[in-house]
Amino acid sequence: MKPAPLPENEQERLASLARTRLLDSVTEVTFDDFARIAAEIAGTPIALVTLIDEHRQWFKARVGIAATETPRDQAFCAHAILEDGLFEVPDARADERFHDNPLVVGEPYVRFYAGAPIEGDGKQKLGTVCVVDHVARTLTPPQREALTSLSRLISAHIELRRKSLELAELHREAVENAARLRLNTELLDLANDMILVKDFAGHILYWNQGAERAYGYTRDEALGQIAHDLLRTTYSGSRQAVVEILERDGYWEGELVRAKKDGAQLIVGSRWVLQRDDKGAPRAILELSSDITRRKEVQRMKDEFVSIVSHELRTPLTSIRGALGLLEGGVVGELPGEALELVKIARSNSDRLIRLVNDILDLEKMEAGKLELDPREISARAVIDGVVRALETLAQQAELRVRVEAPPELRLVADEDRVTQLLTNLVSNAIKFSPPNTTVTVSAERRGPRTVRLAVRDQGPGIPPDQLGKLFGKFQQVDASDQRRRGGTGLGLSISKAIAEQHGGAIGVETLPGKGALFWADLPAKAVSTMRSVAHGPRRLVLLVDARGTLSQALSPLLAEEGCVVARASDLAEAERWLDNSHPAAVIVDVDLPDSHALDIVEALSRRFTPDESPTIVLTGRLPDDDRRAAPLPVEWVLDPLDDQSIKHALRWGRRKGGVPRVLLIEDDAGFRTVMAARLRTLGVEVLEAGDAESALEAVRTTAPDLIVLDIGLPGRDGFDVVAELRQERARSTPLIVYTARDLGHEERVELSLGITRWLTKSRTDEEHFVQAVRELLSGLLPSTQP
Amino acid sequence: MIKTVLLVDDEPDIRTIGSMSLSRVGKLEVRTAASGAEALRMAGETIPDLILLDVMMPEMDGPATLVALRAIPALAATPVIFMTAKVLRDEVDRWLSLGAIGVIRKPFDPMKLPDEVRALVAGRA
Repeated sequence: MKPAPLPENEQERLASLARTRLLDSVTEVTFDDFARIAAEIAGTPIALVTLIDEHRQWFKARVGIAATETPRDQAFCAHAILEDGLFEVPDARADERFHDNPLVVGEPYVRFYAGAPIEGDGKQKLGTVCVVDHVARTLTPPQREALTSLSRLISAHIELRRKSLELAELHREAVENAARLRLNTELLDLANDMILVKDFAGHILYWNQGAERAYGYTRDEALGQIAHDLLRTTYSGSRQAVVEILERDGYWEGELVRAKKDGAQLIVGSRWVLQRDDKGAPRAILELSSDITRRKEVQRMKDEFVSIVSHELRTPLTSIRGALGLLEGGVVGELPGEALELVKIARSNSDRLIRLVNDILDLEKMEAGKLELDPREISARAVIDGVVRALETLAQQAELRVRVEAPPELRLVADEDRVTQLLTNLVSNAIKFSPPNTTVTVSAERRGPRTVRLAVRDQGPGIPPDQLGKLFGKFQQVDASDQRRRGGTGLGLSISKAIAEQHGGAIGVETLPGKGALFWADLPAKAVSTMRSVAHGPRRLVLLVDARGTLSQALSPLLAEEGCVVARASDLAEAERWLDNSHPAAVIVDVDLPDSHALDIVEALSRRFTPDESPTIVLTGRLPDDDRRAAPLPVEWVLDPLDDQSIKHALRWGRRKGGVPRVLLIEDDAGFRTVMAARLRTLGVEVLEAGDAESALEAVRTTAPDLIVLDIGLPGRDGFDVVAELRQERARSTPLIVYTARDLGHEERVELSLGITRWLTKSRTDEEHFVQAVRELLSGLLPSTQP
Repeated sequence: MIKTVLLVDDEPDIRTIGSMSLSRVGKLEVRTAASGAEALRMAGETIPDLILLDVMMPEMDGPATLVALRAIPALAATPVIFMTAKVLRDEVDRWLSLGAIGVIRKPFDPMKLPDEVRALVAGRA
């Protein structure tokens, strides 16, 4: 027996066969009819529709035979599918390929075989329609013709069957998708939140019922409109800034102020997701917003309430506490023993009430992020000693030893009062919960270049593991009855946690029940630094102007390390109040202010200070694209992301200390340039000269001049090009004198601005006027020359 | 060394307790005023060694009273300490920037008030 070799394209053939989904399918009348017709055509007792699988031939339809499949290596059809036309074996016993085939020598005793291939998609031969007889014979030409036609008919039927199955599948998917989509849409409409889809330019593509309800525009009114125009959206920065973040991170979250159809204002908390197409280009913005107008209002009322309560509760408490204190102190005469006892109870409980009021207000402030920290460099050891001293009496009453383990050189950069409060909470807790004759250990150790850990270890009962998680929550004490006995307010640890976190630190506890507890707080430490301090002499005031508090959080430790006192203002009005009462050495502004542009602050400063007296001004964040006014005072830009190094650099650069001031003179007329340079040199400055845009840019980059004097009319690239390019670089804050033959319009002036800028017209400016402008813009860098 | 104190507070109870504390515990000579205007009049008549000034008072509040006091030449150098039930630090800083030598927070301990006052005065010297 010679089994048939595999066809060349066997893999593709099997794949095509699988796509028909015929293998092992149920009996189908059509295929049975095909088999019967084949038997009729050939006049044979047996006819089959077969499919050749990897290891077997399987019968889709059969006449005159009981088996449903045979092994492939015995199959006549495996040979037939190698042929292009009809494959005929007149006498199997006389054929060396089949004479000993089990199908020939045993059931069903094949002598005659004829099979025409059935083709699938891609003309792959999947199997045959074949006829078999028990005697040797041949087919007549018309029989051959008919059998071949039948095989084409079967092929066509199989292909049709496959396509209709696929179509049914697609239809089912489409129905399911439609149902899912309907469900999603209904869910989106069910949401109270406002859900929008916009294209990248802001055109509204989808608008749910929540948006209809909140904004007052129906879907029909909203679709196709530009969202930020329709809703008159006000951004805390600018729309451009939001879009930039969205492009960078794919996500933006923040608050927006919008107007409803009836004009009423709405504050929304909004989350945006950017969808991109296959090529990565921005395609749509999905926006989910919720109305937080009411929440903001409640917050404002709560703040007001807290402030009133703070005063209104403390005033009567002052009288009660005061009266009891005087009675107890015997100021109006010795009290009899029992009366004194009662007064003591009243006094200690009024103390507790005061603590509770203070704690609640503290926590309130911390949770609202309103806790003003005043971070300074402080000795960890001194703080610990102070706390331990204050709690000495409490420790003695509890018959405890308190041990301190803190190297004297460790220094924190933290708010001393708040750290004292934190540590007092931890130590007094340890004292309260320790049995007599044990030791409480208070320690400080360095945990990293910028971290010091304060830790309090006791030998008390420890804390059950299931209580650990709740410990730092409000009004949590392990045993509620302890609260009264121990005299705590139940707020100490949550306050301590807030203090640690507000410092950018962390707090935690480790415990072994029965072996005591270890509470720790990691706080910012003074890093070992070789940098020269910005501030010389007495401590300098640095005013931080930022709405979000991120600037103060990021810079307070650095500035404290630099020996500066930090003040913070969260808007222009507050900044102005500070400036009314103080003269800071530097003002650092986050340009994302709710009520104003960063340059408004610079203008506020310029109303109060001349360039000579002006604090160093550092603007941080992104470059405002919508505000291209010239700064009226010298400013430094530090773009996001902030890092300590660039802030330090800006503070120093901004101070423009030391050396001979450098003036870059850009003028293409060599004669005129020589005259001007000579005049400038009489002021005691170093003059650098450039005759064209390229050498000017080169000079700015290599020498960082203190002042640029620019003639607009240059050969090739002109003065406008020079300024446009310098704006992209750190020279964007360099003072500039534009010196030109013609009058400049407002737009041109805006375009020709760097740091502090003056525009002078040659014909109208005499030499003195020019020299005065140079003096002014060099702001105190010139050697003093009395006229 | 301070001997005479002018205590200014619109709350009568706190005037009673404060003056009892300062006089009985602190052995100081105490006069009280119920408003900024009354304080200005009394301080102008007899110059005290120290003025304790409540912050939140109707009409003329503590800071305004301080500014008015400073305008009287004889009182320009008299030490002033604010007393307040409010605790916001930036507010406290602002009051101090007006020239007060310290702030005492309410509620205070009447047995310790005189010592606190003396410590603030000594700290300034």
